[in-house]
Amino acid sequence: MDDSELTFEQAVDQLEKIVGRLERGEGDLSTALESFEKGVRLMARCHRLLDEVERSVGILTGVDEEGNPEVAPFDASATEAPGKQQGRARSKRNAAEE
Amino acid sequence: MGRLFETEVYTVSELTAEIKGVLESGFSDVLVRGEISGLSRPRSGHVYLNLKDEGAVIRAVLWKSTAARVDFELEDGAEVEARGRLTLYAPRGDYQLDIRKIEPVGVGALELAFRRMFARLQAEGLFEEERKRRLPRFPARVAVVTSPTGAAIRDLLQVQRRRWPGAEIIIIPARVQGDGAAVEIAQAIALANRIAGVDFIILARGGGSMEDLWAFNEEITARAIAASRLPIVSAVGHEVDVTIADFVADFRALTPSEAGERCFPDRAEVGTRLDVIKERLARGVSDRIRDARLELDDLSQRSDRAVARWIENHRHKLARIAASLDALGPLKVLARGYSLTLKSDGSVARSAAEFKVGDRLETRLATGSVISRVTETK
Repeated sequence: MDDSELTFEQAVDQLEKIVGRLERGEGDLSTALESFEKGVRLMARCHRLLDEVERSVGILTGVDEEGNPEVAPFDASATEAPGKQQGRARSKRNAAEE
Repeated sequence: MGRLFETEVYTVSELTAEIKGVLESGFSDVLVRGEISGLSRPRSGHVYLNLKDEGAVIRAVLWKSTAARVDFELEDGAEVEARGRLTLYAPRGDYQLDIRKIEPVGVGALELAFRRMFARLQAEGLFEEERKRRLPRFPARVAVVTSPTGAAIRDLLQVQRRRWPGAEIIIIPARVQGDGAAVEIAQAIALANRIAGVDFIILARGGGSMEDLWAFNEEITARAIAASRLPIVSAVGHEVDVTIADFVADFRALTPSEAGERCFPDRAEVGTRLDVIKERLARGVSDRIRDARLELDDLSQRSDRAVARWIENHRHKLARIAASLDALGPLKVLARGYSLTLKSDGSVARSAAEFKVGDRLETRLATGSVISRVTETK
């Protein structure tokens, strides 16, 4: 799988395996260097995912045959009683980032 | 002889009809509390039972349509309150309570039913620790079965945004209390399982009375959780509330907020952990390079030593050969005053007969040579 398609979980799993192998001194030097390069790429992938802007919150309206969800936007502040102003301001800013 | 009693004589039917009138008008709407016994459910769909206490028994009936609406388990020994009217059945001289509404008494009966179901599910192994699955550590997509208008989803989202905002949250709306809520929750769980890429499902509901939370104590909910392909987090009520869903779920969070804390990693902490991994990665590879360099140094030292040893060996051998060559060779002889005579073709002469007058010859001495011509041979 291409690194850029890995989920955070998969990327961290691979990273931990690579570090473990390096630390145990497994494989020859060229394998170790390849692993290191892959580790650096995975690290970059993890940081990209970590820095990603907020993903959406949606209400499910249906699921297609491939399992893709169809969602309607969810406004967390709509029926929120206390701290309403703050909630609105936050969701507006998120909308601007996305 | 006069009549002993100058009163009207009833026929049995007349008396019964009068009793029926008094009974049915006097007890047209009564509420009675008692324990169920002698429960029977013939194929007709009507339910026949007795209500009793320590001192008396009353026959009772739930007609089919009423029986269908009963939402708890009718069973012998259950304490109930029944509302209805008394009716008298003349052919048998019998009266019975025609029940319009029946309810379990207090928490006692609910609790009893709950305990029985609990024991049954436990016996089936639904609560076993081995069944529980681990949640992915870094969720990318999470389905939340809850009421979209409730406080639970807001509490959960607030914590999730702070800790792990990169995750996508898909709310699967379901009523979380009242009649039919358990069915909606079960359907929502099944639906969540159809969505691709979902890491786990959170069942969320805010605090409430035990009755409010009842949907999470129902068997249909418990079975839907057990049947889920995806791990399920139960986040129902307050800290003190425990439901069957908590027992069947893969992970129990005390509240929806706590589910946010326990199910989503903290972004800052993860960043720190990544830095640690980065250091280990760099150290790992530099250690490997250092090891390789040491190995190389070692090899080169060993090979230098091997070459030196070879040269030394050969030097000794050469010296020995040179020494013996020296001893055997003509140079030492020449030094003692002997000389060597070479013919013009350079070969060593051994006899005077090999020369004739006029031939050129070379005489090699210890140092240098003399060239001369033959004037006579003897």
